Amino acid sequence: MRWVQASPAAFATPSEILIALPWFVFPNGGLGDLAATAHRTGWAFLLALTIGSPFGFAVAKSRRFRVEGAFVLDFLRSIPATALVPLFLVIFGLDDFSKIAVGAFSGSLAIAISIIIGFESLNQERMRTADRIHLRGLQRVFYYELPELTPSFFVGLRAAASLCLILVIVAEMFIGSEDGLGKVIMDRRYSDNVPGLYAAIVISGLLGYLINLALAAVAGRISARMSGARFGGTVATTGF
Amino acid sequence: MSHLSFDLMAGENLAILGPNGSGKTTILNLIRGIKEPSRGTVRVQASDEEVAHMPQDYRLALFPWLTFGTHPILYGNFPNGFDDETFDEAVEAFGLAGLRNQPVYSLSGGEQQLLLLSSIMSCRASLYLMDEPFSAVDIKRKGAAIEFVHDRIRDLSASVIFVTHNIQDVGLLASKVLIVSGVPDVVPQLYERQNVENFEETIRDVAGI
Repeated sequence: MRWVQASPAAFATPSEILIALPWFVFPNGGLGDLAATAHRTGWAFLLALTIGSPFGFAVAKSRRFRVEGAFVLDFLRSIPATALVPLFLVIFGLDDFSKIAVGAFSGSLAIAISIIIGFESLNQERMRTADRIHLRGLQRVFYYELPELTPSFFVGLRAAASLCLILVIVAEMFIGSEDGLGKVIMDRRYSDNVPGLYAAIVISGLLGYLINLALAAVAGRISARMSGARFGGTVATTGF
Repeated sequence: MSHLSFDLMAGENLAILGPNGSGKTTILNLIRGIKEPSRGTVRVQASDEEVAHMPQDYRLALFPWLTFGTHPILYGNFPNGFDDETFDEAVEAFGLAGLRNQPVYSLSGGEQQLLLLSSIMSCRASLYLMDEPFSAVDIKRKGAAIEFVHDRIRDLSASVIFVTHNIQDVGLLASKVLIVSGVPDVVPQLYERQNVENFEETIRDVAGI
């Protein structure tokens, strides 16, 4: 491996990037692209939540599923989601759902895994208490398991939101797109609009940051209600 | 710990005394069946459904996200039965009646411990295992709490095995005392109230508390 010196043309000054940023707030500028990406990310996240939560819960609650399905789950989560872009293209075609599905796939795994890990790290003493007082069925789920899973569940939600955004943008780059931040990034790249390219990257990061901030605020509020201990506060990195 | 041997009949109450790390909680865990002895056997005649347990970290037997008043509902699932009246009496006796709508996390440590004590003692058990059950309770309410436990155990003809560092708890509640030293090969000593003159004084001297 050798170091390659990048051309100065590959960089933009902070002031050039700042000047390029306002384009994204104008309706006839990049606002539509920003909204399209946010819209797809939102749907991908909702889909991930809808699929990942019951799946994770089912796996976590079933000892047999957990033991025998561990390989399948490890295999699925080891697949780089970007490698699935062509497959989803074949399955769902060129429309929006392909982009949403790619994000939802990774997001749902992140949520499911966070629930499974949450179950594995439930406090043993409290679990023995729940067993000893015969806490069963919905009472066990709603009064004990769900509240105790809340912190790890929200870690999963935040990871899922980040993954959904990343993969929607990647999908917008490679699956024929008419709008979206991914398309803008590629357009700027092909038209050598370097400040615009950096501005699109900054806007993508800002969108991810805001999504995470919103989830952290919700997590903090719910956690405060659940246990009196705040864990929201900061925007965490995903770790995925 | 080795050479540990004792019997406890229904209606007898055993206090376990000893320094930190001497194995007091381990004895309770052996009785609960969540630890296995490396040698010997532990025989508990009461079935799992008849044993109530109050852990040292009382917060782990509570559900801090729920209200005070939800706990008797959850503990009401105790398989051998739960007495709502007993819970209400305990709450009154401990001065907790105004807290029913409070989330548990907002209560003080002492109030949380008394909530758990009320819930545990309302379970219709034949054996109560309690690990430092009054450690966070203030002196004023502690007397009421010990008296409540004493009366409840007597009414049910049940037994309690409790870990404590306090001679007052022993004096008011225990009919037998097991003193563990934590030193390997030192035999734990068992004292029975009926066989020992000046029971409290003797225990205080032997245990060094």
